[in-house]
Amino acid sequence: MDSYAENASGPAVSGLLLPRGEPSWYVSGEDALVLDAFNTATGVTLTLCGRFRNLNGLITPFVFTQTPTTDSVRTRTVFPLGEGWLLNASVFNSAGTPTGTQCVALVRVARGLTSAGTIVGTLAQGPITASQDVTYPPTVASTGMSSLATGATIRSITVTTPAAGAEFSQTVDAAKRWRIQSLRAKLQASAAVATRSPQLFIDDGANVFYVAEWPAQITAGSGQFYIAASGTQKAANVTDHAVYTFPIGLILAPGSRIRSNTLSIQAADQWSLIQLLVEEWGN
Amino acid sequence: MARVMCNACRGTYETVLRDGRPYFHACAPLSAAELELLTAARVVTLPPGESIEDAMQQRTYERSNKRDENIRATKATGGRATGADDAGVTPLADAAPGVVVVGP
Repeated sequence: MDSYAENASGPAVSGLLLPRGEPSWYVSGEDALVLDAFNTATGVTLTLCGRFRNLNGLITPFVFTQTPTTDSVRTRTVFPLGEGWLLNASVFNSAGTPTGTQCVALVRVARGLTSAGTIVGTLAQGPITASQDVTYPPTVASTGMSSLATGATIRSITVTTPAAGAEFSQTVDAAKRWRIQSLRAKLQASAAVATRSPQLFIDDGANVFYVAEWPAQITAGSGQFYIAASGTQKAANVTDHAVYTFPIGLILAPGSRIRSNTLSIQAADQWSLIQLLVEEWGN
Repeated sequence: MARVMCNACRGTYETVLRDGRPYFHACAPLSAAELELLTAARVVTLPPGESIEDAMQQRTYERSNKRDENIRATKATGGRATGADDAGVTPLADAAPGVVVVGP
């Protein structure tokens, strides 16, 4: 049986052997798997699943569920396993849409089959989201780090060109966070006489929390490029581009928007060439 | 990649971005010009003495048939349909490219 050897993490029990190198955590019949969750999101159900190798060498899957409370107080569920080796385990949200650190889960091993058992080890811990599980053995996204700790993706986004007389607006994608690096857009004024004053609004999907006032106004028949970039100061004209004041490090949650709000916009005015550069993370 | 026009706000966009990822369109709130038309048509009534520009600073006016494709994208995890009566999109011809290659 050259392909089998005693696993380093498991004791010699009745001469039982494990595949060489297979990750495992030996549990006696007195040990149990414990799922602790700290949750504030509504409608969440956590599923704890994995594979277990019993003393007969039989590998069996297991699936347990837990409905955590929404008050951020620990919800503990104890799952007896029997005697053998825990090969792997994963926790994911099988219902609900927790984001960020709304739902943090810990997978532990306890001596004792009740919630009062003594914790003897922690297998995995971290936030649970639609795109992030907590796993044993650990995987990159579930080493206890927030998804924000992983590298951001850089995205260049061509924003919807609005109809004439309408404003542009870009919504942060579902389940993503964006940090806006820069924005460029052009407003072409029609022949209608008025002085246009384009503001930039940033809102949470409904409520405006930042306004960048116009760096330059335009009049009938003229066109103007506008740009905004993290940390810029207002400037009326930098090589034909008017520059908005824009904050540094502003991270937007899913559903937030960056949009124009042009005072005295006319029905035939046209926003176009709207391009955003953002850093993106999972939420 | 396809260029389409949103039938709710008449904005135009590519359904796939240059990085190959889908673009999720969401209609912008009403502009001052659009709000002015609706107040003239008495579809919207502003508080007495309030100008269009004051209203734009204080409130956000959304379209009743607003489309938000992000809602469709999250449908598997509880999102709703894009809109109660989704206005859909109209296919358009490809836009002139922003990059022009010249030379032999």
